[in-house]
Amino acid sequence: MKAEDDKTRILNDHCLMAYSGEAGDTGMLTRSFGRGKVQFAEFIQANVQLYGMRSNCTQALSPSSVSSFVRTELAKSLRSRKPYNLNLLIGGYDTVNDKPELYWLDFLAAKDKLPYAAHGYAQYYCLSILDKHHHPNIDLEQGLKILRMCIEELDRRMPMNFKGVNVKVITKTGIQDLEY
Amino acid sequence: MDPFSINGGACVAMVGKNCVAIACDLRLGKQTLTISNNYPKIFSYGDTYLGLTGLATDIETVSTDLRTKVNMYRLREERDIEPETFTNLVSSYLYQRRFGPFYVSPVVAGINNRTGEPFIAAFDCLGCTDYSKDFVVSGTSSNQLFGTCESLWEPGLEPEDLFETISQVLLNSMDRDALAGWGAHVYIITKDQVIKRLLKTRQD
Amino acid sequence: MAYLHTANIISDFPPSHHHHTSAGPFVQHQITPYTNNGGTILGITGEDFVVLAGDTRHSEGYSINSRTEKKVHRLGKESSLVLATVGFGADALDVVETMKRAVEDYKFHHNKEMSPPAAAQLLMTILYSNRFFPKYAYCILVGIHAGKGVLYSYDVVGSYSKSGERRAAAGAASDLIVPFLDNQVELKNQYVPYAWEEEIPVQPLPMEKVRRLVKDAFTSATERHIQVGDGLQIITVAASGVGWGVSEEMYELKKD
Repeated sequence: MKAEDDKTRILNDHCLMAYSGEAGDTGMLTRSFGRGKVQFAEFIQANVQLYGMRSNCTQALSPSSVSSFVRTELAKSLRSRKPYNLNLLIGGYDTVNDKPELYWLDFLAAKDKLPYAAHGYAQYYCLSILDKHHHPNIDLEQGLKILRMCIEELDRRMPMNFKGVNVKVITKTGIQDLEY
Repeated sequence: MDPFSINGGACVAMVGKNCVAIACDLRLGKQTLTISNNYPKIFSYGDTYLGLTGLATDIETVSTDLRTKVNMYRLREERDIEPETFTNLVSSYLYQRRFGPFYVSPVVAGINNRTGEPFIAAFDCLGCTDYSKDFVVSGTSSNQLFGTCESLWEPGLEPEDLFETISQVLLNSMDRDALAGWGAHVYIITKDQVIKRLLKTRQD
Repeated sequence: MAYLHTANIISDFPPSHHHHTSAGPFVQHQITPYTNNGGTILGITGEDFVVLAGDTRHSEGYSINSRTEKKVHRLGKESSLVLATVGFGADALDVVETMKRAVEDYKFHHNKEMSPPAAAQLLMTILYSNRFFPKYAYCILVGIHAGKGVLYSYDVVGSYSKSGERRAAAGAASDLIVPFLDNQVELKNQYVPYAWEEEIPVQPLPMEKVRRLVKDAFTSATERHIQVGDGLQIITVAASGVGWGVSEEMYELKKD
């Protein structure tokens, strides 16, 4: 996987999925590898959109519905011949209830709604920082400040050097790419 | 890597005098790392309550599948499902996966709507039902729960005393299990009301 | 050539099963050095006394070897020291014998009884001297020191707390008993009613209450653990004035 690969997928106007795991499962590797042509991330992206169209709602799928759909697919895969080895974070803005939401899913398809979450080594480096500094009423600016603390910590303490981060912000107006 | 103890958790149900109680912890972990301290393991199906411990992904799958089944039952029967019937439903549902089981240990608690009799039961992951007249336990703290239940529980407890007993049982058992804890939910179920309480616990 | 292939045998230690299964010249007979003989022990201190108890079932797998095998031992006729051991019966008894001999030896040389802190340190030395082939014996050592009941508990290689403990349980059903003790002896999770998160202060328990708790703990453990039952041996060491006294009570447990 290349360093500058974007490991996120936009699922709909207010829903973004970030993933990490086996390269083949994310859809980044040459398509002929592993199983099938379309791998999980792309499969989910397409199917969330399809599912949204089929249920002919005027509104797009809510983050909670998207996360349920993704979980079901991941759970199906878990007991299949070759399960996806993929950990996910789904961030979204519930435009109906006017609330931002974050879902944590691991490759076993365990799902939980959390105020802040991480996967892989970032859990060990960042969760304590988030435990200390996050509280329910922070605004975007404070959020980004805490994020910066997390990334600085990763930069300082991680044995291997990671080549930068992609930061995307989801608000009620949609998803924006942030210069970082 | 035992699927029953990756995520951790504890659940216990008890019978009292014309009442039942069911309680669970709130931890969701990945081995030793705690992911969440707000992951309830008790689900209500009308007036019948189900506690699920084990692999988190299967807790979600089983609880939602049963929700579908109970909703269908309610539509057909035009009434809530009784705890005894629900127990049979859970049992047969789990046994359908005999050779590729869901890694969960369910616990059922409720009061029969017609007879008013308290009812509790527990299962293994294949659906073998364990009916009990006193208490049932499940989860990574099951040994501790058995020890404390056996020594603190007594027959004929009134709702408030049953609450105290089940709370002490769960709290002290959780504190001796690194994989369970971080908050708890307790339900006290009587014929005409259900009280849900959130317990403040040690955060380690 | 193959007959003198000794280097292979040395490098194959501990011997693996599949290595010598072919009809070679060497047949390695493997012995299992440990057996789990079940059982549970439990000790609780009071202000000026200490109670040490153990069930009397001795089992191996699903078989019961004995219903009357005592696990709690006095370390000398004139000594307040009492030692309880569980785990592998033979190792457990060996630890007790070694301690008894050392306590007697100490009295012969110094013309006084060994103090509980000294015995505690000695027990650690004995257990740790077997660090690389441990005695499979979990120990609880109690005695009267300066008019107070003291209790020390050990893992198989001798880790213990010099300052002693208020209570300890070890063996098959310790999982079942320990949280009960947390609750009833240390009063964990117990708060003063209608006060704002004020913990109930821990005070030393009276002897009758302690004996009651010990019996409750064991009847409960017997109910839910197959390796616990038959009989309960309760030894109480009480300081009376400047001296002390030791008494033993036997209590029936279920035999199923």
